[in-house]
Amino acid sequence: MAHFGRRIMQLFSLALVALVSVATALSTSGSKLLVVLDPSIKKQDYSIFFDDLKGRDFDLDFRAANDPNLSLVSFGERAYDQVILTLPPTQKALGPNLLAKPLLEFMTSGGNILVLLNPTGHALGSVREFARELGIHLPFRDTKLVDHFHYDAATSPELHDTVILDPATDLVAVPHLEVDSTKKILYSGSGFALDNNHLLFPILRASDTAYVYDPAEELLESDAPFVSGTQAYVVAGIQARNNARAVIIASSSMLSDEAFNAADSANRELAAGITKWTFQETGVIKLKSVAHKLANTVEENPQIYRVKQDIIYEAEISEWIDDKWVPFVADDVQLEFTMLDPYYRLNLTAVGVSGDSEVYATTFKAPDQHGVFTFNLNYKRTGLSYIDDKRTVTLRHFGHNEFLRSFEIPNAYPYITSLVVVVVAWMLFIVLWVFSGPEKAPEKKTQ
Amino acid sequence: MPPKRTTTRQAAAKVAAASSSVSPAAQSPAVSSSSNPPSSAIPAVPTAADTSAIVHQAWKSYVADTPTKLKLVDTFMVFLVAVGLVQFVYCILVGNYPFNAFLSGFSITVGQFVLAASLRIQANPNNSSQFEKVTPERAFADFIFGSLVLHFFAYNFIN
Repeated sequence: MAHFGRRIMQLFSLALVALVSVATALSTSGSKLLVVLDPSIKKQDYSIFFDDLKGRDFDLDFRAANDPNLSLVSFGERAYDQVILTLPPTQKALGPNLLAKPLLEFMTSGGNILVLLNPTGHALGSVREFARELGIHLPFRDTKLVDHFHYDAATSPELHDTVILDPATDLVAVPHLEVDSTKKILYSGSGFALDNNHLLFPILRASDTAYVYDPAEELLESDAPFVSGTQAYVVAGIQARNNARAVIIASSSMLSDEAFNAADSANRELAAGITKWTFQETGVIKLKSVAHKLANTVEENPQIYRVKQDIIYEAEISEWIDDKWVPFVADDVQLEFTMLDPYYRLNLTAVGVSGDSEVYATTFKAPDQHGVFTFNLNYKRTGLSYIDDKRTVTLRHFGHNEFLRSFEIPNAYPYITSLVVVVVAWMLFIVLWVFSGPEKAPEKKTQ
Repeated sequence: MPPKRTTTRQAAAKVAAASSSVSPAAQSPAVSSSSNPPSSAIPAVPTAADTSAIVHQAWKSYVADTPTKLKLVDTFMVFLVAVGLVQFVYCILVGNYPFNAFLSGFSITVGQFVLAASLRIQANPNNSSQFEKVTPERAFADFIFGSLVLHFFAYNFIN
């Protein structure tokens, strides 16, 4: 009886823990999630990971890689919103629907991809090609990330290939991903190198005493590692210009139940953070509306302005938090007023909240140059969705009756007085000429 | 035997005798060979006293000899020059914004000056031989018409 009661308590506490750590975030890009499960990965070994995903309202669809009905595209549109791709431990092919090109087209149509490399380090040619398109250089097969100073003595006392990563120093995606920094992250697998692509979003890297090498070559050391130190990354992502996201995790064992349940492990929290970023649940901002108008008028978004007019520009930006849009507050939103080159680059100040978005506004004087100008709101920050909004307007020059009159310019007063004085003197001259008598004949001098 | 030379010399002697009988003071310096040098010698370099004497002489003859109507035109022209000069100096000192206003104010004085000058030329009775088709009255009418056109331009250009 007591044994039974203890069992109940264990199940209850597990359920409670599971419920508490399940987030309430929902995805902005859709809930159809495809999981391509390699036979080497057993679903029950990753039950916590998949249950967490189900708890966030994703519809999981488990398929094998060689499923003939598997297709990312159906009737010209993408069939799924998110994809988790797990890879086999050998160089087996994934099937024609999961080559690099279909994956890239899936991203182009707005889908998000999470790739879990096999812990053995094998990666197919098509996946290597896909990763290279993103700017990620996958390691050679059978390589391992090794750290002789931070390793888990219980699981790998000799090879030191179960590495302990410290969230305080190795998690570089803060503040978009945050993890309790007193815990540690267990990792066993390989590591990859990154390009210097601006669109990359590095998440988790190795500590500076780690390196990636092939253990079969030499034991415990190598003088030509694939990548070493803080240049070795184990989790990295990219956000494409259409805001589709792809993340590569260099070993699927990081998400296993074993890793989640280890003592003091932050893997579960980290996995939630990674999947939330990948599947567009966090770090998503949206430009709700843009309005520009002439100061002191009512008409919004006119097509034509005039040089040197006062123009008011307002933009509304929202952020997706948990399950709704809230105002997004930042102090570095800028507006460019551009014709080939930016004539102005102005800071937008947050002036208030309108509905579920924050209003950013500025007022400026149109430059003294006519032409076709663009209001360009270009807000690209690492980890957040990109905002790139362009509105084109015409700036015409002064109409013939819009110039300042002379009497409104104090500098012109002498010239106006000269006009008046000359005309008055002229009239006086006319009068005197007409009324002066006939000419007297010049007198001759006589002696 | 050149008879002309003798004739010339005799004629010259007659002229000398005749001129000396009329005014003994005024001698033609070309004929007299045995004469004393004139009492007032022409100086080599004009001094300041000579310049002021010339100016004074010119002014006196101007005041005395010029008809009243022409003096009226001259006064008007001097006045226009002064007004134009004031505007020009102002433009140099303060800057030429707005430039169209400067051009308008300056050109009304310049244009009026030119019209007044042409009126003076045409209305001067001493020049009537050169202007057979244009009477002074016609010149005055032309002056008025030209001035009105000039004023119209200046008032439009200053905006």
